[in-house]
Amino acid sequence: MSGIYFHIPYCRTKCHYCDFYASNNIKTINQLVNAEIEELYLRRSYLEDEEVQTIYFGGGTPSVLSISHINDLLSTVRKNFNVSVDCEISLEANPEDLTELYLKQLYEVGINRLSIGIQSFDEDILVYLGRRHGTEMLSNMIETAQNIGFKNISLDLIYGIPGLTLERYTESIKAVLKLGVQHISAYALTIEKKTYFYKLLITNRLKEVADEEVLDHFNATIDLLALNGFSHYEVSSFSKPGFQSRHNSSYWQGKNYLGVGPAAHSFNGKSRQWNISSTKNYILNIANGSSYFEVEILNEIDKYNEYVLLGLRTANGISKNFIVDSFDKKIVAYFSKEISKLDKDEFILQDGDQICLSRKGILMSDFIIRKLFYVP
Amino acid sequence: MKNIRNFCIIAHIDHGKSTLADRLLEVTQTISGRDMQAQVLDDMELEKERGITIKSHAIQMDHIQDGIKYRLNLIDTPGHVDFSYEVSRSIAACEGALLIIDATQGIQAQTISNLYLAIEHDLEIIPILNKMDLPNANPELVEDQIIELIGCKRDTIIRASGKTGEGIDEIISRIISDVPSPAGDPEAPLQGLIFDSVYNQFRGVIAYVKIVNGTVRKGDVVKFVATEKQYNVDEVGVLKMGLDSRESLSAGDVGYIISNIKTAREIRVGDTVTNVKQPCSNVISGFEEVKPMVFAGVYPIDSDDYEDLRAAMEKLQLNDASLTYTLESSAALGFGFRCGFLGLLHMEIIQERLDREFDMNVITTVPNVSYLIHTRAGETVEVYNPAGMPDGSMIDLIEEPYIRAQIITRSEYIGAIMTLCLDKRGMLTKQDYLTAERAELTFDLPLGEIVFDFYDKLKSISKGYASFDYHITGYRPAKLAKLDILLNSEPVDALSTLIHADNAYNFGRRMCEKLKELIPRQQYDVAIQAAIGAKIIARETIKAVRKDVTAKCRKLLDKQKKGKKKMKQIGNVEVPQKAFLAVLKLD
Repeated sequence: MSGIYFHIPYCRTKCHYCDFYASNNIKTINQLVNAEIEELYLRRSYLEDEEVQTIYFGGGTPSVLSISHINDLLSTVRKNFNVSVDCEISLEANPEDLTELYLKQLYEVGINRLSIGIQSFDEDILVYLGRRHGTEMLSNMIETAQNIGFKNISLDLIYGIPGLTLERYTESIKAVLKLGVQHISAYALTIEKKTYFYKLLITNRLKEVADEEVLDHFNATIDLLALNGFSHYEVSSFSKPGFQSRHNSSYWQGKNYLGVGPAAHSFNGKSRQWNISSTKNYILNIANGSSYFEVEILNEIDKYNEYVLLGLRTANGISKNFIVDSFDKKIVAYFSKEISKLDKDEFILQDGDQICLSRKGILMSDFIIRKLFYVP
Repeated sequence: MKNIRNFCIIAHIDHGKSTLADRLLEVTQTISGRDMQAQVLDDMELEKERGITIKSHAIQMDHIQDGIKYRLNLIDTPGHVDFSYEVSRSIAACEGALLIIDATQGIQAQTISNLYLAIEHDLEIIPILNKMDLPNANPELVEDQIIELIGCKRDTIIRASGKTGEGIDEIISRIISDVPSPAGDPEAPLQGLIFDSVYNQFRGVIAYVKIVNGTVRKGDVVKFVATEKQYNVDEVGVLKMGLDSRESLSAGDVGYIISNIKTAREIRVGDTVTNVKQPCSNVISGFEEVKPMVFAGVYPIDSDDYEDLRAAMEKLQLNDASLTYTLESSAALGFGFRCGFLGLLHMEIIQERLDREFDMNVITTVPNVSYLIHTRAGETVEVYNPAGMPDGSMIDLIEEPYIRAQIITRSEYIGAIMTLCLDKRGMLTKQDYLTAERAELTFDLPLGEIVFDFYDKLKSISKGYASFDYHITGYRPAKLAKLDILLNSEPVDALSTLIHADNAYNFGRRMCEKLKELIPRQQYDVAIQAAIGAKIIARETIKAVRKDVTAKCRKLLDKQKKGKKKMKQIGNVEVPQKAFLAVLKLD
């Protein structure tokens, strides 16, 4: 089982909280799609004819693609790879791109999962975040998508936003729950450099939300979603039974995947590789046949670190026995020592062989993973 | 011998010395343009990147003029204050010097001090204005400065450009006509000046030598006077693009001697080499033992790498005799070394070489100078690190090293530079105007104040328009305090500093503030305290973090690895590598 990821590094506008470098000129989109089609040909053996069970369009904003772009990419995949009949095909989308016509066409070319960046369901907050959609438009659009036949819709939400009280935040989750979607990703706002919010922050026009408040939002999210039948299966992901993101889960489970496009990342069990991140150079290098990626062969330590990082972010956690069986004594000794400290601080839960993050630990996951990382 | 010309180049960093030298090599067909790797004289990768020549080299060029074949020996000189002794030895090996001044920038402090050295050694000076091809070249004004400085005639100044080749032929004919041929007697007892050495992993140490008197041949038994060591000469020769062996070297020649010397420490720059059977009656004057002036602890990030670090230090010392190190242990950092460097640049170079050539990731502690401690018992001890400071009750008097600093700047920056130097406990001893817009300031300053952040500050307040040179003048009494830093009440020895007592309060407060910035929030509160003896003089608290999570997995792996690599665990606090140099970053 394997997956294919397409990176679409374009945005129509830059959101206030986002540090994604979106200044790529959208005029080059045709060249990019051609380059990605070429990359698919070049790398058609990468997955060694394994069955492709997930395809994912991420970005940037993949909904800037025209239907023929998407169709060209998907048919190239179908011609060159062994695509399973029930393949999960996701597209990240901006709400304002999802017109009824576009939704219909997406459905027709085979997109069967939408991941929609609504970010909030609060009018004021949407304006504050620099988004160009309102809540009424959101409800209508999602209803339209459902009527067309989309049965797997995911919404992105941001909490810990300055000015967003706990009360208003829970109100907006309740409203989201009424939309009847199958999956929700919820992220705490982080103020990254090179964003509008960062500029506000350093000029004292914005105050960062205290950790305690963010924790309140996070706990409210978990409780409310659990009450409504969502399971919390990864640090920031919640789903109805059977609707976990198969694509993202395959990353966490260490499955093979092929990443296509600038900055895309691939993994085949032995090595990781990254395409160059500059869109311009990616297009250029693909066109003139020069190198467009870097490879790193994973050693035992890398494999351990990856296992810990990817595993601990999921509800399934990691297996003690697997670590003892798979890795060097030195690594295992280090792991055991750190685990007992984390246990004392109540950052993790141990259940027999399994170790996963406690609720307190989830919001400290970067810290915990750093503690467990083995760096010689 | 009358057809030999030995000369060096005196120039400020970036004034185009290397490019001009390359042109000389090209014109004399020492190297063809096609094979030319830009700036061949700087052959260490690090040197190329920094655009400065760290260690001197020499090269012989042959040139025919009016039917006579001349042998031109260019002796290259390092271009930084940390290496001023090496420069003086290179100068002592020459009879002439090219004074290269950037026509867009004018004379800089370092050029002046090296020029004085050259004049002291009676070198014939050939003044050259370089970079004449640049549109902002200001030849008249810079010529005024040169005339003022060396009292030459305006028409003797050569206008040149290393880039276009302008003036290169004239430089060569002036070297031939103006620079005197070396004096000396080839039949006299051997007397050679060691002006540099390099380490070669196959051949050992190669000594670069100027034969002042006598002759040295393959098979001779020679003695180095200062080290009193004797060696059989395996090979002698001259320096072309590589080593070019000869039967012998005679008075006036510049070349090399290979004699199975195993480490750089067995040879001293400035030493005299002579023949054991027929020794010379006196040594060449000017020899000094080079002493390190700046000290810092160097520790492996991972204590397990201590043995690797030791091996790396040993190898570095094979070809850099000015690096010294002794074992040191720190409660916070484990085992490491207290290293002595010629100066701050030298320290940076060693740190970078450890990283590049040995892949050693190290923590360097706050640099300090050496202090002379006179105890009440009447003893004098030299202290190289804060931990070595005896208890206050035992100390009668502390002395610290002083330097005389020359700063050349545009006059509009004089005020700011004065403030900076006075703030660093400096005393203005002289102020000269070179031209209406350029002044030379001379300060007496404690060296200990320079090793922190003086350079960077000088550069920034003068917008890069001040140049700086110094030499050590001696020790003076100092009022010092040892400032300790505590993290969660545990003293971190690697963060201790020796500081002038009057500045200690202010300094301690700023250290705490800076560390608060540099140490990331942890799962517990972290208290940062500054203390003198048992007295806490400043405190900051880093609040515990309750949220440390990245939403998406993308790039997280790399970020985590990098983050962890730079952290050192001290007690229960994660301290990043850069925090150990916090003191250098105080504003």
